[in-house]
This record gives sequence, structure tokens and C-alpha cells, in this order.
Amino acid sequence: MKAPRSLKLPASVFALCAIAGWLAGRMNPAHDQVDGNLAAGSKAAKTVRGKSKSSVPSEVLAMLAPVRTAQTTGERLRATIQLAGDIPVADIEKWLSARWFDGSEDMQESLFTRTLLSRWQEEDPAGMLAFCLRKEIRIAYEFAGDWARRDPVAALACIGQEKDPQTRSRMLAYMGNPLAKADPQAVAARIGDLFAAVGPEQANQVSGMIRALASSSPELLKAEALKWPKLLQDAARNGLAGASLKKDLVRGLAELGRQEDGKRVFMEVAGDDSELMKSIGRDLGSLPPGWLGDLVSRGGGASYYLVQDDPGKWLDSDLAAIGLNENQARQLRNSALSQLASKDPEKLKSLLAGQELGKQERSGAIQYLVARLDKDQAEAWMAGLSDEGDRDAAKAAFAFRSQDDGNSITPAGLLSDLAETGRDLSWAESSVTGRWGREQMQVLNDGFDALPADKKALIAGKFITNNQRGIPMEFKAKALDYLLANPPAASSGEPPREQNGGQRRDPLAVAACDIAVIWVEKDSTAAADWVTGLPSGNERLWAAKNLAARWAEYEPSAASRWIAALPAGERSEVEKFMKEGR
Amino acid sequence: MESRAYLLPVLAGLGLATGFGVSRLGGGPGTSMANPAEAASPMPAKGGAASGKDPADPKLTLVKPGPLPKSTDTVESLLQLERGPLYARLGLWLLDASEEEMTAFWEGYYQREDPNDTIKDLLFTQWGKKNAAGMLEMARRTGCEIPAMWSWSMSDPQGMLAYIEGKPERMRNFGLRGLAYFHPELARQMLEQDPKLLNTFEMEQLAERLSGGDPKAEMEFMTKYRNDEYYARQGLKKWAAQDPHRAFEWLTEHPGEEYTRKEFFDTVKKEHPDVLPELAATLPSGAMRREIEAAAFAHLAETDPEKAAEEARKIGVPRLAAERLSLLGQSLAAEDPARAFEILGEIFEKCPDAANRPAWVRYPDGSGGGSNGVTGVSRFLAALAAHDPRQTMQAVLDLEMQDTSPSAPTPYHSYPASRQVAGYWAQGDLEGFSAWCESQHEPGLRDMGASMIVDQFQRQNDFTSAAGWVARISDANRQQNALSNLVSGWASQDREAARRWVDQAEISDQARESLSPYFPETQE
Repeated sequence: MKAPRSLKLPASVFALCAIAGWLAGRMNPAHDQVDGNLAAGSKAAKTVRGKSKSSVPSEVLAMLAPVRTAQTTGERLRATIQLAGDIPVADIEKWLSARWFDGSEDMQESLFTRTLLSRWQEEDPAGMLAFCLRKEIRIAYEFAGDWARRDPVAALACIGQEKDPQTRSRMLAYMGNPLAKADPQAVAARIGDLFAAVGPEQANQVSGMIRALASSSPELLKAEALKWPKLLQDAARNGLAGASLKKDLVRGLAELGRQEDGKRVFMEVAGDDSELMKSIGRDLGSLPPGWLGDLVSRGGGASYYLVQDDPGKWLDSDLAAIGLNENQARQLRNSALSQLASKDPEKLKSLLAGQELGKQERSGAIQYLVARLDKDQAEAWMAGLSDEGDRDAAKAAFAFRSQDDGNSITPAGLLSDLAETGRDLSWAESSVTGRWGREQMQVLNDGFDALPADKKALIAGKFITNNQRGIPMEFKAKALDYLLANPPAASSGEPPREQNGGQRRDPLAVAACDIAVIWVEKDSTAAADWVTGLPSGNERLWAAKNLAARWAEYEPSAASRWIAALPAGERSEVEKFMKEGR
Repeated sequence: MESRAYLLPVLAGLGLATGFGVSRLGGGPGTSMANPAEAASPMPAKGGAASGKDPADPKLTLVKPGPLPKSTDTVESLLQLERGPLYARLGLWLLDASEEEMTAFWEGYYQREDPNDTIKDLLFTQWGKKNAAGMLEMARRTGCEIPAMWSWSMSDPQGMLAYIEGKPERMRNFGLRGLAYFHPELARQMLEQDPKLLNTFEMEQLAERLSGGDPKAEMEFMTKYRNDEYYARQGLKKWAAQDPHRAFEWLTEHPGEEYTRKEFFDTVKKEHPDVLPELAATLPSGAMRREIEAAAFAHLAETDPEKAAEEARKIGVPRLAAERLSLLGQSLAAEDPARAFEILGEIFEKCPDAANRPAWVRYPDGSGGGSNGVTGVSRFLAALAAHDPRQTMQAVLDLEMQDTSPSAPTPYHSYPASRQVAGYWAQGDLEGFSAWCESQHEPGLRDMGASMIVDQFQRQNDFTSAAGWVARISDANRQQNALSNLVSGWASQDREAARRWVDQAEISDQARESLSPYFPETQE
């Protein structure tokens, strides 16, 4: 009786794998069969992703078979829906993690994923949400909102129990508003605890819930807020004022007018609320004298939102007549010019062609226009400018635009732009260099080497005085090496700037110290080799001091060995520095 | 049989090869074998490595697929459903629905209190296949023309593209999004022709679709079109969850900022903790290697705290030991606070200045700059204070008093750890902290507490209460500093109220005079 049993498993394995192999072989052909009504440009379903076919479990292959063998799009969709309904809830996580299902034709993928998530949510909403957040499954927010609406108590408890602050913050972002709408009572009762649990860094998310409560259950909020800490009480007061203003601007303003600090509350609430600012813009007469001006002076989003819908109208209006002083009027017109550049560049061009704009406004308008137009359009428009001042303003705006556009920063482009303009590196540029790979760094190094001496000195100076930690230290070190070998005073290049608020400092020594401490943390051996190779002098000595002290924090033995190998004079200075900290 | 288990993989391989060969030789679907699902069904839903399954994934249930389903729903039954279950049921129903039925469903659905975009998208994609003009007409009539471009792009991308030519950016954007989902290559072309769409487009989605599931291609796309640390970080985290090795290769090639790396290793820790030591082994000593080791240690601390404590105890380097012990302490603070307090003691023993140990750069002119405190110590103190601030404060004060080294700070005034705990306590429970502060007799300690309370009230914009506590600071210099800070902050929020307070406050004339710069108009 034993013999047949012993054959059963191998036979099954063979049969099963034969089927798996057969399916694998058919994957592409099956997917070539698509409905004729798909347009020529459309793409048929894709096949397996990266994963080797043999690693797909047999159960999965068997369950996928109807999808893969379906003859038409309709059949494939039907089979997909069936599959998503058949997968046991206990296996959903495995299916989604392994991404065994790879159909992407028509609405296949949506039907598959959403059906699975919905079924999982029915059984274990917290588990499903945790999985989606971990795996960065974006559509989780829809499901989280549904859950919050359906079972606010459980959803609130889930947020309260979450330990990871980032995950908690995302849960609040996904569920805060629906929760406040679904169960104001429970939310209001838990807000204090929630705030204590999430801490002030996520106070914004909590304020969002308070705002939602203010519009759905103002009375409840008023009563509950009495028990809250001051910060939350203020958020409740602002939320209530905002809700009341949105409901009825005139009445809301009258309520604020009766409060001692009503004007302050108004300023805090209105300025950054786009909806409210737009309604204020339509009904300026309802504001007490001076309030609009103060709102504009306060900055923030007030001017932006006020002019957003129809910037041209504000440029044509008599702003003094609505109570704005000169500064406030200038601020508002500036905002309108900026919006006009995006909304109606042709109108802005014709404004610039006339003489209505003052000198300062004109240069601002040029900047906005050049920044918003397509590159080609901007260049074409600039070519038509006859006034020299206009041309200079446009040129400066154009240069600024290219340095701030993180996407178009290339090593060669950066070098030539810096060399040509003599400007500093922008934040975006220094940040991007930190993410450049080997090839791009090679281009940067080669490009630098190929520059004439004066440009080399200029660019090296720009790099060594840039304080962003992300800049590749190898390159910063190379720049410093160049300047040490070719002291700035001896070259025709611009000497690196002084730092420390004008106080005299040797920029080369400062850079040597900075490079040493940052690089030794990143790659101690490379940094130590660099310092060892520096020419003797103050820069080398101070780099060595800083390097050794920082290195010893993590690798004291290696640091000691390195110090021991230094020339005697330097060694004793470094040892003294490490002992005394200066 | 066990002795022949090694043969199973061979058989499996042979089976795969045979099956693959049959399918290739046998031609297309028309010459298919018997239903593979039937053939597979006798196999129990368990199995070993021979079935090609990941051994870490022992159970997977085979549900034998039945005949393809057909909807039995009606417009009425569908309209009863919530979004979740509705999606799949609607999807199936739409496969056989007539345009009239679709119209009836939409008319019943779109006016619901919570109509959902995903339901609309599903309906309109299927409707668009049947009759795009009818679908568009309905979309226009119900205020959904712009988002309908997404759905239309599925079945008729060229028609949709022609329609949105020259139309407002928002409509073009929906069209582009649809192309990205259904026809990524066309989306790429559209984007190249109209790069302005980049400004408002959700690039992550397009990258995901265009890369066809290859995270590296996704990263490259994002790097080309939106080279920004935030997107790099998000992309890397997602990739780390899927394939930590390849993602790590990318990270070492494009290191970016420290925070990005931290998030990356945190993700690996959560999703593939076993991989961390392998990754660390590939690197030379340096920050990145320590970051990976810290993540691996954090995982150990979460799974086996005793072993983690043992590992940390072996570390002789003070900063490193304090970093690791802080990680362990953080993970124990809520579950086992008694043990966490012991860990706190160990930190101070290994590294007495853990809360303010400097990491500074010094320049030849004597100036310098940097940060203080070992990474993680503050977070650990915060976690302990969240659990029991009073006990944490006492424990920290006891430990600080034990520090008799020459570099120890002046008692109370500048003890870094107790100040931090005071800050956390005041932030979480101002009332409790105030009571504690009032019960202290040592003036330096009371002053430190009072300053913290002043700060806290100021943060809450409660300047009057803050002023009350300024008066309770006994040290004259310290009081004057607190007063200046208070009035400066108050005046920037509400100058009138600040002035009223200053006018009637019981402070010296000299102090009043020193505050006048905060009220410029009083000088006019």
C-alpha cells in the first residue's frame, strides 16, 4: 500500500509544474488576444513583472488560469472579478504583496485591487489599513475614509493605538475629517487625548478635525472646548469663527465685532482661507474700516486668494477707494500681476507694452511673466523687448528660472552657468548634486578639470563656501585642493566670500574643517586619506583636528591609529585639541 | 520516500520544462489542454519548496475557479450598496448592461450624498467603450465632463486627445492622467509635447504607470521630471518595501539627505529586517553603515530586548553605546517602563553627557558650530516623560547629580537632560508640571521650571499666564531675559494687550524702559 503513496507526491509535483510551465509559456500569447474595439494605440495587458515565473506558487497559477486563458477583454474582466472574489481573505495580503496578479488591461487592475481591499476591509479594517500604509498603497485613503464614516469608534481607537508618528499622521490625514463628520461626539470627547498622543507636531491634523467639528457641530464644540488646553481652545475658537463667517459673512463679522479680540481672530482665520477670502472679495463693504488693509498687510495668503479669480479686475480698481494705503495697494497689485502672468499672459504682455505700470511694478511683472511662460515663448518675448532696463530684468529672471528648476540641472549646465554668471549655487542645485550618481559626478569632475584657470577658481570658491551638507564632499574637497594649490589671490578669479557676518575668517580653513567633519562621518577612510594628502599648513592642521575629534566619537581606535601616524608637531596639536576641545 | 525528497525539485523542473515546451509547441489558446484548474485541484492546498512556493509563506489556499460569473444585480439592487462592495458588483454588471441601464444607474447614483469618483470612473470607462458620445453627453449634463476625460482615454485615446487639444489645463490634466493609467506611452508623448502639464500633474502616478512595475525605471523617470528630495524619498521607500537590494544599490549611488536614508532603512526594518545585516556588510565604515546597523539594532530591540541590551552593553564607545541604548529605551518605554528606567541609568553610566554631548566643528578663529546631544536621547527622554513625567524627572535629576566630572554643568541651571524632561512635561501636562515646580525648594530648579512654564504659556498664546510665571523667577538676569522674550512675542501677536500689561505691571522702571523698543509708536 505504501508504494502508490510514495509515487503520489512526485507525480503530483510533476503534473502541477507541467501545468505551471504550460501556463508560463502561454502568458504572452494569451495576452495578445484583445478585443477588437481597443484602439490601435492602446496596449494589451502586461505579463509578469520581473518576478521569475517559477516562483509563483501553483495555487496562484491555478487561480490565475481563467484570467490568463480568457479569450476576450470581457472574459478577462469577468475572470478578474471572479478571482478577486475567490481569494480567501487570509491570503489577500500575500497576493497583494507578491503582486502575482499582473493584468492591466481595461479596468482589470482597479477591479482586482479595489475588490480585494474592500473584502479585506470588511473583515479586518485596521489590518488592511496598516498594510496599505506600509506598502504605500495610495488608494488606501478612500477606504480609510469609508471606515471612519462607518465605524468611527474603531477608527479612532486605531489612530490612538498607532505608535509610529508618521503612520499616525497619515491616518489622521485620511480619516480626520470623515471622523469629525461621522461621530462628532466621539471625536470631540477624544480630541484632548488624541492631541496628547500625537503631540504638537501634528497639531495641524487635529486642528483640521476641530474645523470640521466647527461646521458640523458648533454647539458641541463650544461645550467640549472648555475642557481642552489653551492651544486647542484657540483652534476651536478660530474654527467656530471661520465656520460662522462662511455660513453668513455679515453675521459672522457682527459676532466677531462683539468680541474683545474679534479682529485678531478674524485676521488669523480669514487670511489663509481661500473660500473666505473670495467671499470677502465679493462683499468688501461688509468689513469694518481698516480690516481689509490689515489683512493684506499681514501677508500670508490674503492677497493671493483675493485676486486669484480675476486679477485683471483688481489692477483696474481704485484701491485707495476701498481703504488700502499705498503699501497695501502695492502688495495687492503685485499679487494681481503675478496671477495675471499665469492666468492671462497676453493681457500682462499688453500691459507691459503700455506705460501704466510703475518702474518697480514693471520689473516685477517681467519677472512673473518670464517665470511662467514656456522657455521658448519667454525667449521669443524677450527678443522683442526694446528697453534696456526691461531686457536686463527679463534676463535676470530667466537666469533665476533656470537655476531653480530642479529638473533641468545637469552637471555640464551647472558648471557653464556658474562660470558665465558668477552667481552662487541655488538651494535646488546644491541639493540635486547630492543625488547625482557616478556618471553625473564624472561629468562634473571632467567639466571642472577642463575649465580655464580663472573659471576653476571662481567655481571652486562657490562650492567651498556652500554650506549644504548634501553637496558631494569629494567634489568640495577637489575644489579646495585646487584653491590650495592655486591660491585665490594669485589667480584672476573672484576670491571666495568672507563669512560669519563679515568677521574675517580664512574661507579655505573654514572649508577644510567643514569638509573634514562631514566627510569623516560619511566615509572616514576617504576623508582621512584626503586630509593626509593636503599640503602642510593651517588648513591641513585644522582639518586634522576636526577630523580626528569627530572620528573618535565613533571609531576611537581607528582615529588613534591615524593620529599616531601624523608628523609629531601636528600630532601633539591634534591631541591637545581633542583633550581641550579647541 | 524521505530519502528521495531531493528528487522533487528535479521533477518540478522537468515538469516546468515539459509544460513550457508543450505550450510553445502546441500553439495558441485554441489547442489548449484540459482545464488547468481542474488538473490542479486534486493537489492539496499545502506544499513544500517543490511547488515553487516561498517557504516563509507556508499556507495559501487554492479556491478552484468556477465558471465565469454573470451579474444577477439590477439597477435597484446596485443602488442599495455602499461603495466598497458596489465596485466589484457594478464592474460585473456593466459587462452585460445596456446603455439605457447605465443611464438609469448613473441617474440614481450621481445625486447620492456621497457619490464616489471611482464608481464614476468605472461606469464611464465601460460606457465609453459602448458609446463614447453618449457617455460624454451624460458627463456634461451631470457636471463631470472634465474628469470623464480619464475614462474616455481608456477606449479611445486618440479621440480624447483630439478633443482636449487647446482645452483648459485641468481638462488636459485629466486626459493625461487617463493616458498615464491606460496608455503610458501616449502619456509620455503628451508630456513631452506640453511640459507645462508637469506643474500640476501627479508625477508619481505617471512614473508608476510608465515604469511598468519596475521601480528603478520609476525612480529614473522621477529623477528626470521631478528631481526633488521629497519624491526621491517617497520613491525609495516604496522601492525598499518591494526590493530592498536593488533599492539599496540606487541609494548608495544617489545618497541624498540623511533623513531620506533614515526613512529608507526604517522601511527595510519594517518590511525586510533580515536583509539589514547583508546591506551593512557591503559598506565601509561610515554614517550609512551605522544607520543600517542602528535600524538592525532597533529591530532587535523590538523583537528581543534582552539580547539587544546585551549587544549594547558590549559597546565601549560612549556615543555609540548611548545611541543604541536610547533606541532600546524608546522601544521599552511604553511596554516595560521599569526596564526602560534601568536603560536610562546605563546610558548615563556609559556616556554621562549623553543629553548634551557636543558634535561641533571648530575653526581657527575660535568660532564654531554644531549640535548637542547624542542622537535618540531626546526621543527616549520624551518617551519616558510621556509615560511618567514625575518619575522621569526624578530619575534624571538623580543621575545628573551623580555627574561629578569637571565638565559637569552647573547644578540645575543648565542640566540638559532635566531641562528636556521639564520641557516635555510642561508641554504634555502644564498643570502637573506647575504643581511640581511649586513644590521645589532649590531656587535654581524652580527658576528652570518657571522658565519652562513661561515658554509653554507663550506657545499657547496665553501671555497673561506667562507673565504671572515670569514674576516667579528669582534670578534677576533670568527674569529679565524671560520678560524680554515674553513682551517681544506678545507684542508681535497683540501689541495693544502687551502694552496694557507692561503699563500696569509691577516691574522696575529700568525694566519697563528696556521693553520700550517693542512698542515703537510710544516713542514717537
